[in-house]
Amino acid sequence: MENKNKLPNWAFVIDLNSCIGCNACMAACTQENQTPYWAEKFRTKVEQAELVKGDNVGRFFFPRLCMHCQNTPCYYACPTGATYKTPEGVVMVNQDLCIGCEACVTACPYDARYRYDYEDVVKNKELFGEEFSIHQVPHVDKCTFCYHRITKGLEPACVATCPTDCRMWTDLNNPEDPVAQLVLSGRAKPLAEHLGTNPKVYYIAPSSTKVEPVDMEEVYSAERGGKEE
Amino acid sequence: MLKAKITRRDFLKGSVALAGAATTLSFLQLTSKKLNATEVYTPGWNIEWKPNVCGFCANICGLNVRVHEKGNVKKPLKIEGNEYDNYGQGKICARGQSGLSYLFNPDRITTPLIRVEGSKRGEWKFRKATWQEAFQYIMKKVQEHNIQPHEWVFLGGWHGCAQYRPWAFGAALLMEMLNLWGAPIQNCVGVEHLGIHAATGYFNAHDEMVVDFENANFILVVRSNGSLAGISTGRAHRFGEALKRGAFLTVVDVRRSETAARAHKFLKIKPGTDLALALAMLHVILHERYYGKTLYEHNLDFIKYHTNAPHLVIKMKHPVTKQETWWLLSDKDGIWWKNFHVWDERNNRLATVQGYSNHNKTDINGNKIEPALELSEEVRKQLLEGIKKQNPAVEDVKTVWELLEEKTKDYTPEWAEKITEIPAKDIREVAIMFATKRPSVVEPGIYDARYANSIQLRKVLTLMQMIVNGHDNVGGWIVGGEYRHKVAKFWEWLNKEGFDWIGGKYIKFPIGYPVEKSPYPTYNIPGVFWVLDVFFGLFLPNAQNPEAVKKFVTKLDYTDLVKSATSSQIPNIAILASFEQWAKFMSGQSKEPGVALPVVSDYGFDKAFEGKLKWNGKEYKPKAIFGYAINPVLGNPYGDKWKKWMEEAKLVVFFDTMPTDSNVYADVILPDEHYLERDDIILGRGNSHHLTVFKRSRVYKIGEGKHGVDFFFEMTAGMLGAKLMQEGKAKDMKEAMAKGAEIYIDFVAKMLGYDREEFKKLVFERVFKEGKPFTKAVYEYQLKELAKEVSEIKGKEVKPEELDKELKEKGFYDIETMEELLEKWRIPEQIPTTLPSGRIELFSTLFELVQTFYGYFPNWDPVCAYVPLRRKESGLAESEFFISHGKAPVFSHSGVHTLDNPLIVGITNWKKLHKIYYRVWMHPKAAERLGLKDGDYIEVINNEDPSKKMKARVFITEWVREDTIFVPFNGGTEAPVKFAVKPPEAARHVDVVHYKVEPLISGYTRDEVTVTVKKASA
Repeated sequence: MENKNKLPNWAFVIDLNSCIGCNACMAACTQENQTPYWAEKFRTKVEQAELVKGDNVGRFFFPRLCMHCQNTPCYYACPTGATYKTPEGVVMVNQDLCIGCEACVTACPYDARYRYDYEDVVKNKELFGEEFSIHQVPHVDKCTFCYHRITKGLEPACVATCPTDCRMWTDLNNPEDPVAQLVLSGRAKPLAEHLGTNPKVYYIAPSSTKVEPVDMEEVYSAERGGKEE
Repeated sequence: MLKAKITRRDFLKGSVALAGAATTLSFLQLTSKKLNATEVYTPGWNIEWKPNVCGFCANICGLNVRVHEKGNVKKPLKIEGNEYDNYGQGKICARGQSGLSYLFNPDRITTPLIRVEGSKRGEWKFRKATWQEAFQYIMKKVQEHNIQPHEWVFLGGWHGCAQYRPWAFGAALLMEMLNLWGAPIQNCVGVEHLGIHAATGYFNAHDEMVVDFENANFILVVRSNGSLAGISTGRAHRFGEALKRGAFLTVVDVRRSETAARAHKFLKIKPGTDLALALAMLHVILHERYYGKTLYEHNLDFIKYHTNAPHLVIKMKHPVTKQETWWLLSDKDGIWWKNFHVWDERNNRLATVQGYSNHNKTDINGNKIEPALELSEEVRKQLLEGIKKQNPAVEDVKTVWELLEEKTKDYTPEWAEKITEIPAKDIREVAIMFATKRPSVVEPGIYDARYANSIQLRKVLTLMQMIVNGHDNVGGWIVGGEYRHKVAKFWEWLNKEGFDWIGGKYIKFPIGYPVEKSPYPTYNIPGVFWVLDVFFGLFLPNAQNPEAVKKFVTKLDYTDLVKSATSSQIPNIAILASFEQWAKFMSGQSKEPGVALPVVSDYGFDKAFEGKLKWNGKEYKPKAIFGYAINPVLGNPYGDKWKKWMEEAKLVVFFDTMPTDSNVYADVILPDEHYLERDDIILGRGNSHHLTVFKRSRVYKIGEGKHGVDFFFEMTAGMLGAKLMQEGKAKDMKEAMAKGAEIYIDFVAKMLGYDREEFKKLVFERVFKEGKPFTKAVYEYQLKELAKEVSEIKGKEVKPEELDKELKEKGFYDIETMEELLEKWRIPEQIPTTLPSGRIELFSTLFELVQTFYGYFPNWDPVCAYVPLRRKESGLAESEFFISHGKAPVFSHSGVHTLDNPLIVGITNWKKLHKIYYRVWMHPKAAERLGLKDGDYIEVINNEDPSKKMKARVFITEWVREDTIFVPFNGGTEAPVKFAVKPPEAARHVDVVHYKVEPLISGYTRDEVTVTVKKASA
C-alpha cells in the first residue's frame, strides 16, 4: 500500500475560462522538447474555434496535448513496443524502437502524435547542436508531460509558462491540492469521455452566462470540423 | 493596512508543499525550483540557471535562462519565467520563450556595418567594419556636410524611452539634438494615456499604474487587446486570476480579439464610437438613480476631499477666440494656478485652497472647511455678484462637479445607441454593473493611436473609475511602486526645502531647466510635471515670457515664442510647424488647426524634409537621421515618406539588433546588444506594485554589439570631443574624447542627482584607466547609492556587495512592498498627484492650459465632451469598409525581432493561426457581397488618400463586424531577412493608412478613415 502511494497519479487540468490564446505554451514546449516548429509540428497546440449561436459568434481557445489515456489506444496499436507507459502511467515513445509505421498516429483519437522525420532530426541538430539534440533518430513524437521535468519536481514546461495559469498540474494522490480537487470533485472533465480512453487531461468548461452559453464538447467538435484550408 | 494577497499560484505552492511533506521527501522537491538543475536533464551536462529580463516589450518580464555546458560547448537552450519577479510572477509569453530563437537568429546584426561604396540606400549592401571605423565614418560625414545639431532627427523606440531614457535623452540634450521623435507620444503613451494622465498625473513612460484585476469583480476593457491578452504578461496573469475567480468581463471592440474572446458581455461596437458609449455610461452613473440611491454615494468623501470636484469654475469668453467656455477660478502667476476656490459649507463663505495640495479639507490658512459639491441658487447668485465685481466678463459660476453633471446631462444611452449601434439597454446594464459590482476596474490600455477621440475616451473612462472606485486602492487602480516613490521623494523635498523656489505653494514650470540651475535633479521630477517641465523648459521656454506670448496672441507672430532652449535657439521642427499652422488657423487662412502640445512629435517633418519649412527666412531641412531600435518605415503612417527622406538625407545611422525595413536605408548600422548579451545597469521595474529594481547579467555573447548606454556615452564623448578639437580646445582626439566624456558625465550626473565628483572619478578610473565599459562604472555607482537608500528604508545596513549578489543571482531586488508603500504614500489621500492642483482632476488644468493658448476644442475639453469622427459615418458603398487594426499576441508591433523570429514564425504558420495573424478579417456577408472566398487576394485602398493601398489575403470570419475590416498590425515586414512572412502573404497595415493626426498631441488617427476593398489577382 505504501509503495503504491509513493507513485504519483499525475493529472493535467486546463481551465478554458482563462485561456487567452497567447500560444506561450506552444513556444515553451517546442523550446523545451525541441519539436519541429520549422515544419509546424507541435506536441501541444492551441486550437481556435468559432461557435455560432444565432447572431452571437464566439471565439474559443482550446489547448490540446496528448491525453495520456489510461486505456491507451496508441499503446495497443504499437507493433514494436516503442510506445510504453511509465510506472506512473505517462505514455512515452522509445525513439530507438520506433519504426515509424504510424499505427499509433492512426489509433490516437485525439490527433496527438506526429512524425519527427529525418529532415527534422537534421534541422534540430543544426539548431540546438549535435551535443544538445534530444532527437537523434526519426520517430513518432508526442507529449511526455515533460517526464524529465516532472520526475524531478518541476512543472511541465507549458504549465510553468502559462501566463494565465489556465494550464495546471497536479497529483491526484494529494486530495488536498486545490487542482486535484477540481478533478476529484468532477468540475474538471476529460474530453470525449464516451470513447472510454480514460484520459489524464481534464478540462474545465467555460462558465455559462446568459450571454454566451458554452458547451465544451461543442467547442471540441467545432474545432475538429473547423474551417481549414 | 491592506491584507497581503495570496495568489492562486502561491496557494498552490503552499498546498503542494504540505501534500509533499505528507508523502515522501522526493515529492517535496515539487515545491522548489532551486533543486540541482543538472538532475532534471541528461546526466553529464552541466546546467546553470541564469536570471535575466526580457527585452521584447515594455513589460520587461523576469527570465531564467537554462545554460547547458558539455565539454567545450556552452549554450543557452531554454528560457523560463523568473519567480523573483513580482510583476511577471514567473510567467512569460511566446515572445519571451522565443528569446533564444532571436539571439541565435542568423539574420542578426553583430558587427558595425558600413554601406558598400556605390550601393543605394534601400539595398542591403554593407561591409563589416570595426567600431572605430564606423565612428570615424560618421564623424567624417558630419564634418563634410557641416551637420548642425538641429539638423539631426533623433528617432527612438521604447528601449530608449522606458529603460535608458536619462542616458539617451541626456545625450540628445547635451548635443542639442532636440528634433526627437519616437514611440512614446503619437503611437502609445501620449495618445492612449494622456486622457488618463490629465486626470491622475501619471507619467513614468510605461505602466505607472497597475490594475488590481485579482481583486476586482467587474472588468471593463475598451479595445485595449494589446495590453491584456494580446499580450502583456504581467497584466494577463492577474487578468487570468480574475477570470478563473469569476470576475465579470465586459469587452467593447469591433472584433472578437483575444480579450473579447473571453468576454461575458461583448459589445461589438461601431468602430471609433467608444467615446459615446463611455459618456453614456457616465451619464447613467451620474444622472440615473438606482434603487433610490446614487451610484457613487459610497465614494463621496474621496470626490469631495481629494479631487477638484468642489473647485469653482467660471464661464467666460476666451479672450481671443471669443468662445464661451469654462475656467477654474484661480489667482494666476502668468499661466500657472496659484490657488483654487471652493464654497465652504462649514462657514458659509468662499474659501481659498492651496494651489498644490492633496486635499480640500482646509483652506490656505489651515482652517477646517467643508467644500460644497453643489451650490444652492442663492449661493451661486451671491458668488457671481462678488466675482463680477472683480471681473465683469464672468457669466456664470459652478463647481466642477456641477459642470460635470451639466456636461453629461444629454449623453443618454438612447443618444449613444444612435452613434454606437449598441442598444441603450446594454449600455445602461453595463454602467449599472460597473457601478455596483465593485470593486470594478477599467483596463487603461496601451497603444491606441486610432481616433482623435481616443484621448477624451480614456479621460471619460478615468472619470468613471475615479467617481465609482476612487484611486490607489484594492481592486482598482494602484499606483506603481517606482512612480509612487518618485512622487513621495519630490513631495518630501518640497516640504523640507519649502515651495519658495517655485513661487509659493503652487507649481510653476519650468523647474528642472536649465539643468545646471535646477534645485532638484531634473530627471527625478515625477509624472506629468516631468512632461510639463520638458515642454516649458526645453521646447517652449519663452512661454514664460509675457511679451513673446502676447506677440503670438495679438499678432499671431510666434517667432519669439517658439525659440528652443538650445544655444542656437532654433526651434524644434514640430513646434515650429505647429505654431505656423496655428497662426494660419487663427487668422482664417486654413481650416486645419495646428497641434497643441507637439512634444517628441513628427508633425511638420514632411514640410521640413521637403524643404518647405523656413526659419529666419532660410530653409530648415534636416540633414541627418539617427535611429535607436525603431522601425519608422513599418510603424509610422509616414512609412513611405521615411524611405524617401532617408534616401535624400546626407547621413543615416541606426543602432539596432536586426535588419529592418528602415535601417536598410542606413549608411552605418551599429550593433545593439540582445538583452541576454547585456551586462546591464540597475533599472526600475516601473510597472510593479512594489518598489523593485532589476539588473540583467550577461548570459551569452555573439559578435561585437554594444550596450545602448555605452554607445551613447561613447558617441556623445566623440561628438563633443570633435567639436572641442575643431575649436582648438584639445590637443589630440584622446584628450578631446576625455573632455567630451567629462561633459556628458557631469551633465547626466546633475540630471540624475548623482554626486558629480564621485561619479566622474569612478568613470575615469573604470573607463579610461582600466578600459572597462561605462556601464560598469554606472552600475558600481548605482549599487552604492541603492545600498544607502535600502539601508535607510529597511532601518539596517545593507551593503553594496549584498545587493550585487542578490541582483546577480536573482535578477530582481524588492525594496518595499505595495502594502508598505500604500500605508505611507497613498495618492492622493496622503501625498498629492503630479498635476498642478495636486488632486485627482475631474477638471483638467493641463487641458485648460491648452485652452488658454488655442481656444476651446472638444478634444481638450477640461471635463468631457464628445469628439465627432472625421470620416464618413453612413451610406458606405458595397465595397467600402471601416478599418481597424491590432497586433497578434506573438508579435511586438513593428519589431523585426519577433516578425523574423524562426520560432514565432513557426507558430504563426501553424494551421489556422496563419490566417488569424497575417490576413485581413472580413465578415462572411461582406465577403459574399464582394464574391470573395477565404484566402482570396484583395486590394485595400484608403478612400482619403488612394495612393495608400495594400495587397493582402482575406480571412473570412464572423469575429468582425460586417461593416469593418480588421488588419493585423504590421505583420508584413520587407526587411532583408530570411524567416519573416512578407506581403502580400502578411498584411501590411502601414501601407493603407495615411498621415492624419489629432490636434492635441498629434496622435495618429490611423483608423479614422474608410477603405475600399477589391478582389485582386494572386
